[in-house]
Amino acid sequence: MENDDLISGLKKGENEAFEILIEKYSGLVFNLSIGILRNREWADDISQEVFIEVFRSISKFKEESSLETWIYRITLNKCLNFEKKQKRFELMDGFKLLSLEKKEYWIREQSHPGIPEERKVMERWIYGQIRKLPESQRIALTLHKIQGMRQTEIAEVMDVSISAVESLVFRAMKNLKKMAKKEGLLN
Amino acid sequence: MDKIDDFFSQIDEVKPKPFMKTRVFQRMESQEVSSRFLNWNYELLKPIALVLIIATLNAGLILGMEADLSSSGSSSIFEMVSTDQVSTELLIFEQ
Repeated sequence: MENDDLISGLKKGENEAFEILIEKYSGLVFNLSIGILRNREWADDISQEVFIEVFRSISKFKEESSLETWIYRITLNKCLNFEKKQKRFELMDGFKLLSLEKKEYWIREQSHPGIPEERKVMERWIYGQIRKLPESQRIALTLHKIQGMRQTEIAEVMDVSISAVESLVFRAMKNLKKMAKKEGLLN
Repeated sequence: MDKIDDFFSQIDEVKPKPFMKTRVFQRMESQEVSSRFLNWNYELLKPIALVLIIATLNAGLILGMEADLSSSGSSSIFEMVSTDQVSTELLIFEQ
């Protein structure tokens, strides 16, 4: 099914179109979520939320961008909101204010399943530094280096120019390398 | 290529858990059911809340009236007792 047919099917509320949408984009949505959140359970929850959001707000989709870009934006927003929530819960946990149930869900070890075991130390360090970067640099770097998206696609998702994306990725990498050099990780 | 570039180039794609479709549909259904349940409860709560408010106001009024009555009653009893006591004392004194 072509994307135009898919969108019109979704707008008509057809179950079949919705099923095709999930089949077609579940990998993309899940990998972007896991690239940011580094936890299977969270990425799975976010993916489900993304598809429900797409289904509920497809009538508002004006087709000014591609369906894929729109889905990327929804996923990104959901992940960033989730991270904000998670930071709040981490803070609450520091003050011993979390119930056991909430603690079990929100306080977890983060580890990207696509990164081999021997690189886990490096993963913790790199993601720790990525977290410290300004949000726009962090998003551009994640989409380009972890998600493997082209700069033209990133520009559409972030709604900025291609040169802005180039500059964001360049600065993010420069910052990362500076921090790595400082800690002797590049030798 | 340095260590950081090398690190990014070796991140593998991850497959989502199977049956994503089923889980999305189940989640949607449960969200709809819970929102319907909440709406239904909210509609049901309106008359119950109204009845409770009226009942509380009535109870307050009744209690207030009883308190007034009992306080005025007790004072009159107190007065009676005290006059009796005074009169008895007077009688004893007179004797």
